[in-house]
Amino acid sequence: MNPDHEAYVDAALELNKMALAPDLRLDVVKQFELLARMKATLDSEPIPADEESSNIFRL
Amino acid sequence: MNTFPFSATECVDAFTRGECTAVEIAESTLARVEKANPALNAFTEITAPRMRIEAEQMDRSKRLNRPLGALAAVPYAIKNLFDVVGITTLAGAKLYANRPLACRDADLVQKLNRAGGLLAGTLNMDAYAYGFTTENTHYGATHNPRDLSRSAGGSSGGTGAAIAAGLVPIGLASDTNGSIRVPSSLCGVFGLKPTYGRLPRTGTQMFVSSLDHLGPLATTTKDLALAYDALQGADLLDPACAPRASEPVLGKLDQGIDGLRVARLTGYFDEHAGAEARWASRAAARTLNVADEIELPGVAAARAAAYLITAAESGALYQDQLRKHIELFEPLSRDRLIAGSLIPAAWYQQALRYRRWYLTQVLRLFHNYDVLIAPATPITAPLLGQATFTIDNCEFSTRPNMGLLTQPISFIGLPVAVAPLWHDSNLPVPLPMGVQIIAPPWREDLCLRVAHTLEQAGLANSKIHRG
Repeated sequence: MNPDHEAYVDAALELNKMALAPDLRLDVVKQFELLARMKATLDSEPIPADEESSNIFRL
Repeated sequence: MNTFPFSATECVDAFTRGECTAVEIAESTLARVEKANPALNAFTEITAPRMRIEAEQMDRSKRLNRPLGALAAVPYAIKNLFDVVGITTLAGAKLYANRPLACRDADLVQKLNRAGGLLAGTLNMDAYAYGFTTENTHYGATHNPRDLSRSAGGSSGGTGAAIAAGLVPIGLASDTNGSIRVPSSLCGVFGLKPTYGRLPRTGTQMFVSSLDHLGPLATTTKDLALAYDALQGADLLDPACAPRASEPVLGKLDQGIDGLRVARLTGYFDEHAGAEARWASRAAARTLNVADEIELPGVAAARAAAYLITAAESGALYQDQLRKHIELFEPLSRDRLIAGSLIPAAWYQQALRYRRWYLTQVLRLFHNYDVLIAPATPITAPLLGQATFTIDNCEFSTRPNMGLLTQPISFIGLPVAVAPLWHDSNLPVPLPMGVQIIAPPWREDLCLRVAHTLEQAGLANSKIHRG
């Protein structure tokens, strides 16, 4: 596991006042690692810097 | 029971011609459900008293020569994230078991009832709609009627199973990343995920608001069109619902595909498809005389962005409850919800920005094509509890990856129909594989015309056993 991700998860859990059992904390770290891999895949496809977001969008 | 009409079209015809009463149709439906549901676990609640009352009202309307709706005396059932008056809206979650009873029907349930539909019950799903296999720790797994040892898909597995088992001809479901299309593919029924914003979500439990769609599954393309037409009509209480008038499709089904420019999606969609999925995509292309093959730009990143948006929005939705009632959460998805609630805002924003860019790129392809086709799921129905599947020596976790081929499409809200195909494999029990039929925004009619063409050609079929 990436120690930076593990440290981030622990800090974010504490900030959000979420106390987890050790096995669940480990599962959460693994899921966060998966999300980090998804972010890396997303970053592999560069888009223009001025592209707007679409949180609520109508087609 | 075999003498009773089954498909929605047959029910409407038989009822309006006076060949049977609505009460007889309701009783035959309830008998089928009582007999088959213990093995399937598709229904979480059977609304027999309500169905009988609705059927009696329908018979009375007919006796009094009142206008009958387009779905007169058609049984239907709904995923248990739709509000039904007098029932707790579970959304598959123990977390919601003690919430107050719904005080009115969801907008789409009201529409089906106004059209004459008879509600048979509510259907099982993955908790919160977070999953692709309907393996629910608190309410049990739903079994696939084609092979009870296999998954019905998810998160709308109860809807797929109820239709495939011949319990009801139409059902309602939701689709955030593939939850209409995956069960349609694995159970072998027709499904429609309309354009994002087409059908109002008022009175349903949200999961990922910026990706949540609602839509029907059905036994035939005619039944699917009949249901979809009854469901249309904007409701501005849903801020994402577009203020568009109804655009009926039933009358367009027989227009055929002459003049339509169709292409098969390759690249990512072939690379993440097992043998049956590749066969289905190619068989559909052959039947439609499609020679063109194209690739979508940036599909892997689109799937990744959809994954991040799902995690971030659902995590934010449930963070407070996770903090207070972690013990009530589904063990199969609580780790994903917690991790999603911790995502940096910059990741989520980048995914949203990518969505805008990707939509623009894909819409450009529709200058040259009217319809795109691709497999709906990477594999046929996995075994319940199956942890992984393999494609070309690559191993994938089953539960998060059954949506590999659906996520990049719903991510930008395009309308998609699924048509079920049957590969002549060596398996002792034949398993279906769905094909996605994808059109530009607001062109559900094109999706359904192509699905109907595949059905008319004999390639697509839901093979419903009349129980």
